[in-house]
Amino acid sequence: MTELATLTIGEALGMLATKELSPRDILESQRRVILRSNKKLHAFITLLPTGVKQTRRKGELHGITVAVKDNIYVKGHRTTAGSKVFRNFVPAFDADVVKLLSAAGATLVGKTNLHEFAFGATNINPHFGDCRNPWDDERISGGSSGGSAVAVASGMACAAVGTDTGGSVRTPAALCGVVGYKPTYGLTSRRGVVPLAWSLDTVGFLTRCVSDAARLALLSFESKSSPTLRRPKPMPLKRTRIGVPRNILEPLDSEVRSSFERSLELAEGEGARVVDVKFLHIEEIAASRSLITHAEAASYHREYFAAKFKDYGKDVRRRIAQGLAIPAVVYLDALRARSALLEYYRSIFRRVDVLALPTTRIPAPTVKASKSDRTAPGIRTALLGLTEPFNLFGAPSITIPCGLTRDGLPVGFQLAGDIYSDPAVLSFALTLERLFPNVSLNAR
Amino acid sequence: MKRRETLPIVPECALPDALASLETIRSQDKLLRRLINAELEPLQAFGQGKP
Repeated sequence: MTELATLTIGEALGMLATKELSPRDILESQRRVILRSNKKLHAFITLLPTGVKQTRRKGELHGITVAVKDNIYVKGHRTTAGSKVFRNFVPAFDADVVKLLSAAGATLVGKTNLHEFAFGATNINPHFGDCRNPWDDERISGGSSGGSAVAVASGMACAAVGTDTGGSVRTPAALCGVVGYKPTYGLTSRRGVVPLAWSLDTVGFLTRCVSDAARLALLSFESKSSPTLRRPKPMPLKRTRIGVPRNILEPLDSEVRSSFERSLELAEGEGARVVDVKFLHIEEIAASRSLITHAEAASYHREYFAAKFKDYGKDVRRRIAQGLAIPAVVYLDALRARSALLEYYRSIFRRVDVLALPTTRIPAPTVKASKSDRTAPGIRTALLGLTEPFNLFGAPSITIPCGLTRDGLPVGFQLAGDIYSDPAVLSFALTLERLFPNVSLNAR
Repeated sequence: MKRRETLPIVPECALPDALASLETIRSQDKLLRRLINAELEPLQAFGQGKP
């Protein structure tokens, strides 16, 4: 992999401005990575016809390449949502996020692989190939925005767009060693996004650094008058209260634990106060999110499901069937419970400024273990258990790489805040990112 | 026939998966009812005269 292929957006823009490189240089070096690795990693489902023409469009992202998860509409190009059910679907309009990033001059390079209909955390995909981790291709990328994470980690695009309903941006970002940012629910438009669960789905960003994620988010937020639209600056950690919900972390892989604890020590070294927070109702949070996700997904799918049952993969078929079996009153109670739980969640931020926890309980598991009926359920919980609460609350959350295991697998450090506290969460992340070791395939 | 009546919108081919998930749904519902009863219902009973 060339270093050119893995520049951050900030670095690339600097070099483009001084004409040290051209948009074509970036595009071609990343195309080479795609040609070399996509057959093995299955990051892209569809490559868009060379984006060179688009690079002539001027704007803040002129010359910057962006990969788009294949459940997000790009006008005139098929959008499969990772499923055989939508294999021939060609949208007639761009999703809002695509429209905004294109208007800013971004070059769209392709549609990335995902867990079918974003309904799973592994990116094992029976229709378009299992998305594999560039750090060890016997292991999964994580999902459901796995192709987006692989594209950014391996130098196939400068950045990528994903969607996050239970951890689908943050989980693959953590397993592949990149930044994954899920904004507060509603700040990014869901128009032109194939839904999984509309009251939880959030368009998010996968990048090589926090500042790139903030840049894409600011260009993509719906309301340009939103108070959350401040460009974040690194925030001094002195006297910052970082809450750690230790009671929900276990069972935690020992190497994930040591990377996480080391990262907290680095923060303390800069003057942060690490405070234990008892995070209550974790089982209720998981139950509420599960019922809402399954019921809303089943509502969206019920007609396709009856007509094209056999076109769905086995695991997604099972999940939609589960959603169809949920009575309306149970779904409504899950929504009521969410309101009560949200009040409790918001009260945490009277005592702390931000929450910190590992993004996943384990590093990337093997493809084989992720496919086994015996181990898959445990893997799913280990991958989503620490990310899903923030979807239920619509809260902003970001993962940043904080180290590697002895086997050379990335570990993610997650920050989450109160709803609409995106600038603060991004600012803390900017500061912490500078303290943490450099995790990139180039640095390996 | 009885199965069709209990899960009216589930296509026949998906019934085994749907039925297999009922236990999970029941236990999730139980957890949430407990929370709602503890957190929400007493407020309603007090504020709105609910018996």
